[in-house]
Amino acid sequence: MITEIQRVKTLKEASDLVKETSGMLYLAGGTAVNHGGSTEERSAVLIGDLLERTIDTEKDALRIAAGVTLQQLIDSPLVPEVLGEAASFIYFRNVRNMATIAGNIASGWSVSTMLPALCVLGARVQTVEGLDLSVTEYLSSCPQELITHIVIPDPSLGCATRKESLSAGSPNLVVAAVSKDTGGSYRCFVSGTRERLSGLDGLEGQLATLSRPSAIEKVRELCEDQLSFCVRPGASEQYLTYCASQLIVDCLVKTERSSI
Amino acid sequence: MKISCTINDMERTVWCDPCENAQKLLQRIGYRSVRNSDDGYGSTGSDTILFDGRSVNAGLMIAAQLDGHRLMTIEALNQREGRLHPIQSALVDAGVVQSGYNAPAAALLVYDLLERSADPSREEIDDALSSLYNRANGYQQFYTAIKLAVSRMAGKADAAKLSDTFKDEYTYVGKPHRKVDGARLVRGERAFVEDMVSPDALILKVLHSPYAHAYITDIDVSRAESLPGVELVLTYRNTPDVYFTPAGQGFPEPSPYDRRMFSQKMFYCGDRVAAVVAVDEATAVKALSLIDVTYEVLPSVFTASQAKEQGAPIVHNARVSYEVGAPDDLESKNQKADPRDGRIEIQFPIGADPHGNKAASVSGSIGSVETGFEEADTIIERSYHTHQIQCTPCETHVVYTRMEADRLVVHASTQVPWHVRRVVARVLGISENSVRVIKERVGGGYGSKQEILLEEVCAYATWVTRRPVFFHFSRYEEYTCSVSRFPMDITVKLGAKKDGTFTAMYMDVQANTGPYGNHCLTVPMNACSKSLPLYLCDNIAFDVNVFYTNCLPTGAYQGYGAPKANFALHMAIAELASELKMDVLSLIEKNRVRQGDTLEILRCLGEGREGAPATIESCGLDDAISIGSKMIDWGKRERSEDEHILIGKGVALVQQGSGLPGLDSSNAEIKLLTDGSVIVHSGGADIGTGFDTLCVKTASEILKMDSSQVTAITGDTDHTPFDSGAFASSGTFFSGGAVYKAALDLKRRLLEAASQMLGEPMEGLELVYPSTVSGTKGKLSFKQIALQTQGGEGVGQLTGIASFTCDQAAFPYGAHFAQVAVDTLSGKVKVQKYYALQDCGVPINPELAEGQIYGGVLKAIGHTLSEVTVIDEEGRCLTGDLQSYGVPYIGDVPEDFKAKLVLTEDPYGPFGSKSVSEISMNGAAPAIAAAIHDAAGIWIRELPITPEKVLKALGRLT
Repeated sequence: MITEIQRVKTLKEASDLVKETSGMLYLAGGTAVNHGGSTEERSAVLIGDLLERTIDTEKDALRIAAGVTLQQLIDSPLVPEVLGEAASFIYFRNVRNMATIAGNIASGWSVSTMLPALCVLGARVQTVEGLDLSVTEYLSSCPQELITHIVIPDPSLGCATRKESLSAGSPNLVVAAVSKDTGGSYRCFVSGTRERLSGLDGLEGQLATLSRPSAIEKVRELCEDQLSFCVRPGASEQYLTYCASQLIVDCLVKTERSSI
Repeated sequence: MKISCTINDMERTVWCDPCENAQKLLQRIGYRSVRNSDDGYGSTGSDTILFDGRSVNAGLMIAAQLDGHRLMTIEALNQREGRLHPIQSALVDAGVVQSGYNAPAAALLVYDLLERSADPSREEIDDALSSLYNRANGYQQFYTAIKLAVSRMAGKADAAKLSDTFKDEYTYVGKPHRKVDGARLVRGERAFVEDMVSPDALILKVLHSPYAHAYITDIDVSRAESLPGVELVLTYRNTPDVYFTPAGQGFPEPSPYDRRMFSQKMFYCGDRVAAVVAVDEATAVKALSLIDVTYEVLPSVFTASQAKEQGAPIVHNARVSYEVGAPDDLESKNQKADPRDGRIEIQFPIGADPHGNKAASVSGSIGSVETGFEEADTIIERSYHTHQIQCTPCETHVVYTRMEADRLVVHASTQVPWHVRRVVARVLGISENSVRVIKERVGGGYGSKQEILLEEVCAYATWVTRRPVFFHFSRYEEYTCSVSRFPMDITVKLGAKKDGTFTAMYMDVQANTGPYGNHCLTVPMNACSKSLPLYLCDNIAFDVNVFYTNCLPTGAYQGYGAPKANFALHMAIAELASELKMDVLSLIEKNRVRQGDTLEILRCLGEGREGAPATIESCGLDDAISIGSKMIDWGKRERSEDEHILIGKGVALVQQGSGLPGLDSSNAEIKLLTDGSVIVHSGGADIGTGFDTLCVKTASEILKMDSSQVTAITGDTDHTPFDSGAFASSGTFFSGGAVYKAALDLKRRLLEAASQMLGEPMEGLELVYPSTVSGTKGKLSFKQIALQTQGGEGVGQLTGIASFTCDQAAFPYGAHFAQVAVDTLSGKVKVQKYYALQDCGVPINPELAEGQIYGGVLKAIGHTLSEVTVIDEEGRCLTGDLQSYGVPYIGDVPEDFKAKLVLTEDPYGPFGSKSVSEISMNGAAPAIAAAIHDAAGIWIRELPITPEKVLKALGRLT
């Protein structure tokens, strides 16, 4: 709950203010900061009107401004299908019209819709201070830095993302994404784990040639070894592990198909 | 801070706190349509606005974000003289606007959609309306509404049929008709309790118990009382020592009086500890944090099986008394009561033993089940577990109270205005003539607003302070402090001959009433009385035992226990069919009831009084089964292209009542006005279901008037006559029955007056459209008759008056068919087809009736597949918002979803009608669960049927 608001003229001023003021938040779309579930009294700096909302190509890369909403990702023909699909994992169009891609990265949702897809795409984050980091580096080292752009180095990379929820509007339980680079290496990330976002190693293309039940069992072994999930209403840890395995196999199959 | 923005093409400058919630700001400055029903979770869409042309949730924004931007609310579409924009008229005409709380948001979202896509696909509609929560009518009619809107905006003829029509001999009955309050609702005009609140109203907020079971050992409110702006702090120490039940039932209630405005003992996590009444919400919330409470925490029980164990913690260790029929051992049990537990006052024996946690019990039988099972060739016995589910109305519970001279006025969102008046008067210790209850538009109730949950404390605050007071549940309070459907463990034992003939039926219901006993006898009993009588068998028995626990409160919910038992019974029938290697529909056909059958089992099921057998006067099951089985192609095995997806079909019959024969009563008056128009005064409560429209159509039909000449005033205890209320599916049958009779009475008086004026016998006169009496000697308009009768030489104002009571049952019936696809790898169940075929007699408002079926079915699909109330080991609710609780949205609507009304004519209901709404809840769980078995060969006997349970049943998870 925001009880004090600051207005600034530049993103740099906003960034400096947040660094100087303990507990201050950035307020862009507002879907996380103003969410009814957050009852703690906080102060925020308003940046919604300062953020760019453009999507453009830069050589082979795609440059998405921080203020681009999730709905814009769905609507833009420039954006890889996988990112639009990830954006659509937020069920409510109104929310997608408000939530920004940078907010989705920086907010602390326990299950992130965009992070797995961004990670498997090798997305990089550019900040107002001029930093250029991978998404995982950003999350682990400087999550307070104000994002200005997200760069997708190879938007044509074969990849897929899937999510699971109990009903259309229910919270997402698990989100997974898989990509395969030109060298045949796989990248896999899962959100909804205890760590919020986890990579999964050991995926092989051969898995996609197995029957789906067999592939799920193989991937489940990997998940059981590497991932840990929080129990959620209506979903045990065992189910969530299975669920992640099944989503990963779906992604893998789609990725393989798109790579052919 | 100064905020400047453009709202509906007008420049607005507002001074406000920049952190003020944008929804609250917009409503405060006059945009009433921007409502709140989820406190900023973005999951209902009630707060939808267009922000720079994009639909957003104002509740997820603060005022500062609006500065410099362009906003649009539905008020921009509202046209002069109450005319409707084509989108608004399409929504109303298609039957989408029922409770209407979200109707303005719906109109705005459709406007946004049509701006982007002139002729949208289903996918685009689903996406556009993804933000809209609609509990009342199941979304299906939005597809029709949008087709209508598209054609109307293009100036073309309507491109979609509103509904089927019935009974050609009638002008209004059986035909679509614009809901009389639809325009007001879709325009976002003042309609709901929140719209009536004076700016100087005090705000009431409640401090809730953090413990599921505890005594308050000390409570210090001095710091809260001394906070500037606090007018009153209420606790058990300064409030009436009066016990009551919040259940709005016929008096005397079968529910025990086990609740006080505030108690020293906390019975569940969320129970009332104290209330603060202050000048604004922030002050009230601050004051709550200044109340110091010390608790003695007690061990808790959360399930019926825990509660009945020997030595279990006693939820209500209270002193128990009976108005009549006290058991012999009462005094000895009362000796162990703890005064801090207060009292329980029971009106008449209900099989209770509160000191053993038993809230109620009842047993009954016909024939001999022992003999019946001996005669059986096959016997199955299965247990089913049903969970705690929530009504989740879009408008959370709300009340506004104020003084008018020395009288108390209660603006309530209620299904039971007269019970509100009775309970408020009783708790405050004043007479009923000192209280006026005005039922405002109700933004969804579904049973939960049959309870008096806020009114008595808010009224007391007004009575003490003499100031207007407003009390509105948050969404979290709605989940934790409102009412829900009882969790029940139901065991069904069936015996049958080889040919499928039932020889014995037995049902055992173990129900969990939670912390209080509102509806504790009648809901679980209704589980039996609305399921077992669907089948004929000479030997039937049932046992019902209901237990107090410390889980979240339960109470009335649409279906009133029937959906639970219908799930258990029809699952057992499907399992029996499997044992017998019979087609389940053949087994159903062999044993089901038919018109003319007498239901002996009802002798034992009398809702707290002696029951009586009933004869089925009308029954649409023949048509419902025949049409439905053809629609779904029963017996044909469907296959998916994906080998891991299996498809199956299921069926369940459904039944309900039409009010409570011998218990309910309704009254109505119809007054002829000077110009020949009429006003209907009915005590019935329109809770979004179209009762006011029914009043208008009934009077118009009988009196041969244009419906524009008829107005309905309903649900105001000062200005309408008594009515039992809108529950137990009584609205059309009882309240409508009184209007029907009052219209006939006015018709008789018109003919009498005309007979005198024309000088010819009544027998030769008839009413003809519009508003005319025609005889052989001439014609008289109603206006002429009114002028004569109301003049100095006349007989006075002509008024039709009637009461309606009935000791005959009018059972609506139906057959529900489901086709599901089970993904055997993910465990997900998708409802591909759902056909609900229902007999409500003669449908008076067919499009609204269909909407109620869609709404009931989608709620029930949600209950079956995703909705779940989860509490932790301390009794705290973990699913206190719409998303985590799992309500269905438009994305959960079956791909092929049809509600179809089959015509029957009941001899007792007005125009041959019966009830329609509640029954719709009873079919989805058994039809879907049976279809899952048909698809994948697994029986899942516990709701909700989550993917995890499916995977476990399939052996993919252990």
